[in-house]
Amino acid sequence: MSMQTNGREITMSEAINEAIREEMGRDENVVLWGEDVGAAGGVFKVTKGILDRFGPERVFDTPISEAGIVGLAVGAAMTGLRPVVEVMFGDFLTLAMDQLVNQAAKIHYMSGGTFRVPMVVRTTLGAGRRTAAQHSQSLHAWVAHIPGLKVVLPSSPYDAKGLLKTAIRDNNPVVFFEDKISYQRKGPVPDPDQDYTISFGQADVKREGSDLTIIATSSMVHMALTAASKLSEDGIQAEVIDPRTLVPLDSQTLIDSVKKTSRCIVVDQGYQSFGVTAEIAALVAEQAFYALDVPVRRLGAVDVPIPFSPSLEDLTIPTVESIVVLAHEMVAG
Amino acid sequence: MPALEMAQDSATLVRWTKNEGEYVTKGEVLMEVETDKATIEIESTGSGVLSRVTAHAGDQIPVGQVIAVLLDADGHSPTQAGPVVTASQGGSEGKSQSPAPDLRTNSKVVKAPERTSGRKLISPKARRLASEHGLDLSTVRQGSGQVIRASDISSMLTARGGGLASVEYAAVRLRGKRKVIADRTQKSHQTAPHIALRLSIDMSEVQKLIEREKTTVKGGGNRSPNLTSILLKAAAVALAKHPGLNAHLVNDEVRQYSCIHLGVAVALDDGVVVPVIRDAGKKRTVEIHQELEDLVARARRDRLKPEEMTGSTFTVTNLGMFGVESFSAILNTPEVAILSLGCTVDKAIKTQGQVDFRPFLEATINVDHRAIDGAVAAKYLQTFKHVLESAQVLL
Amino acid sequence: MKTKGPKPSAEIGVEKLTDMYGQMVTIRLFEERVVELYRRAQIPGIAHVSIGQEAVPVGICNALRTNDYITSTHRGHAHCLAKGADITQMFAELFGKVTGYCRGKGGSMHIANPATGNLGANAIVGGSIPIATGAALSAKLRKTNQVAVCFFGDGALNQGVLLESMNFASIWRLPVIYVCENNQYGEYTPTKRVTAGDIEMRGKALDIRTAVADGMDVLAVYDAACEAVDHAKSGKGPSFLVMETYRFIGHGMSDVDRAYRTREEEQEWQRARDPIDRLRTTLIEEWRLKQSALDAISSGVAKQIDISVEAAQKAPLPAAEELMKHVYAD
Repeated sequence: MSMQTNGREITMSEAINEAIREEMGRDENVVLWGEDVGAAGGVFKVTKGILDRFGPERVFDTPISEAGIVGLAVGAAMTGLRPVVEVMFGDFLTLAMDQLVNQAAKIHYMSGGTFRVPMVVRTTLGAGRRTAAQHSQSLHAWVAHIPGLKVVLPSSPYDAKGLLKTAIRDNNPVVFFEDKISYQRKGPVPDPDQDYTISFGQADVKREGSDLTIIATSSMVHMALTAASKLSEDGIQAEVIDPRTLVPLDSQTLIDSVKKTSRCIVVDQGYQSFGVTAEIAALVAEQAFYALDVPVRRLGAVDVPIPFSPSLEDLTIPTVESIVVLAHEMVAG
Repeated sequence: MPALEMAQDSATLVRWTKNEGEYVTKGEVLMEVETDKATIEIESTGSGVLSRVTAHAGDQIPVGQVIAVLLDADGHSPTQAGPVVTASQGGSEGKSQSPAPDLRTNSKVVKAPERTSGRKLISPKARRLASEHGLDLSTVRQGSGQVIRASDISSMLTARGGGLASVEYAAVRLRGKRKVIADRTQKSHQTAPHIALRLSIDMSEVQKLIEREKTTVKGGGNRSPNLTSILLKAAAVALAKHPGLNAHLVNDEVRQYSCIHLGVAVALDDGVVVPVIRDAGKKRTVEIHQELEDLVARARRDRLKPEEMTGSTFTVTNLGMFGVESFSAILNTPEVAILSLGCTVDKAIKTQGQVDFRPFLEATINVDHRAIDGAVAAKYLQTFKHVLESAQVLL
Repeated sequence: MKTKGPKPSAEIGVEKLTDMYGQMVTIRLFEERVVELYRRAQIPGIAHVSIGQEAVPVGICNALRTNDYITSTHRGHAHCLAKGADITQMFAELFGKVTGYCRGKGGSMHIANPATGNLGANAIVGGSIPIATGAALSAKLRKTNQVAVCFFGDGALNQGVLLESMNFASIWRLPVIYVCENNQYGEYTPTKRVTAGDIEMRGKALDIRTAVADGMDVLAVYDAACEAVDHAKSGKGPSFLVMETYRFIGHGMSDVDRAYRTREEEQEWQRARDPIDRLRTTLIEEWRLKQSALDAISSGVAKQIDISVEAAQKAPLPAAEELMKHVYAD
């Protein structure tokens, strides 16, 4: 799967920027808009320089107007463009929810397949930046719940670039969640001339192991990998799997792994109740029940509004330590 | 009745492993069926209560025929992939509520039997392992925790292997691979009149050949022939000269084959499998070596495909690695001959008035006397011996 | 607004006027048949009809080209028909048949038809406003010289997304026409009671060209539409048109007693302002058409509707295999 990277390492932010540039260069119908994405290059600087490169005909700064940002994208996507729009924080998806859920997700089906809505909503998830309850949520489960939307959660620069290029070429509305905390994380990415994409619905086994499967999403993949290294020192070999896309979900890879290891932890930054961890745990329980030697366990965000104070915020999301402790408990039986 | 192979039009139901009325979970073994190639356990593709069973053990049934249905708690057939509308789900036009097709998983609520109170807590994996090994769960003691886990079952199985008190025994039902072996060997032994012939073969030249190849072939490992592959090659070379043994006996008809597909018996922890090296007569020894290595490795991981275990025309079995000097095997019917090989042992012989020690291997051929007479089998053995002792045509 | 020369409607010949008359009759008879079929339990779900409001869709859509876009509302049959939808496919969709515009997956409130530029009716009040605005943005960026018309009712005036969309349209001068069909009631509630200030001011406040027209006069609507289309196509941006109109029957099929308004008020609108009667009078008095010729139009339409209903009734329902199709596009 991995392509030659020539040792080049770039940040997730740069990888996303490259993906947008390459797709805008490849297809003139790809256009970009959102709050501050133009001249300012976005609040996280992800879209830096794209306005200069492609001009004001294809890159616009919008008003602070999420329903409009997403809703205009729906209309534009139905009529020939491939908008890539930014909703600055995942928390603000709530403002655009009708356009995303009742419009974008349903138009293809509701029109009997006559209209398509090829658009990408880039947004963020993740706590840990001391921004309190309205800038720290991970609401990807909300949209993953809706048939008609595709949901992508990259964990590395390589995956982010390959998945975003696929998202822009997809003929469906795709919600692309970037963990704010990962923007500056570096990783190997092939040179820009290597046009690689990553298909949706293909989980990636980030580390192989035989004793325990850790299914982790987005930046939780790195927590899981660090935990796996620690566990390895204690003689526990954890397998770490990143689904990469929640919709479509590569359940087979997850199930096969659990059948091999007979133990499973699901780690995700969304709220634990009624969330992604719950869905995947249910799937494992349904499809790998006779392989399980201990109950499937979940690690999600604690069910509270994310608090501001660092001492409290740090208690809300899964940590390396929480994964390690749980893994030991499960392996000990 | 599921179709398991291309061009298969029927299969015989060996037995149901679940009773009518019993709750079956997707993935559980539901029945055993026998095709003309193998006996196979069929896992349930869905969950529900086994109902409307129309097939009985021994019935030969066309593939695709409905032989039972799985019903959910409401008495409906749980839907599998794609919409299935059964007679019970009809409705008037405009009002009919077709069942939702499978959306990733079967989401219908199916009431599972309730757990009776007072039973031990057992992990799903442990329960499955115990069932597979025929362990009575009431005899299993859990380890440190409150729950019987897979590791407790493993300990129990290990202990059982080490010999339990004479009054105790663990009942192990013949099933799966074991059941197939039991049925086949019994049938073979009862129907085919076996005769056995044996002779000793001087392996000096073969040993020299192996040493020579080992040192001349770069890379070593499976790039040079080993003893087993040389023996298989020799068996194939000899078969080419005595094709009468490369045959099946089916319904009073001897089918002599032009291709030599060698079955090679491989011992596993839970039985014997016989993967097939196709066209062994046309393959170089080193190719046989590599192919066998792959087949054996996958056999140990239970990863052989059914087609890799069927279609042999002649079988070779070797217990030399266990120090067995010679033995006599049961024919792998409908094949008419099986070659059993022992270990190589230095034996004293008298040559030119002197006592000399040479490595010898005992080869035994069992044939079905209905098709093959003793002399024919003897000639085959002679050729086999000659090929090995001259160590020609062996690469 | 400055008016240059004669009004566009003054240049319409009798042929087009008769055609517009036929379109309004088609909508009226279609909707009456919908009510009848609904009462006979042949149409599942809910349906909202536009009896009395025919002049707005016909006046607007006759100012558009086929490839110009429209978005519609829960009360959308009239818009779809005025933009050129086929009656049989409309009925098939209302019956939930696989031959309908949306293969039976949309129904009364979701009819969409790319061939006529109909981006879809929409059952979320105000939900289609940003879609029409986005289509206008798309047309502008792709330089196709199309306009997008966004039909919505007075009920949508108080949805936030209208302000957001009109703001986008104004700052980017998008070729979009916001057509507010003010039928005086948002569902069961008088508009005046729940809508602050002067409706026109909502467009003007955002620096959008705004006009008010008599939505019961198809020619007045047509004139307003032509001016808005010219404005959009000459790159000057959006328009906001307020059309005063009235639905003669209830909000939906279950709104039978209409306790929120008087019978006298209803009769006043029907007697004095019926848009079909109005154009009929014009055709007879100013263009000297015969009563019988106009009656022939009505009976022709009625016959066509009979044929369409029968064909749609005979069409198959979607098979169960259809259920999981089109959740995602290939």
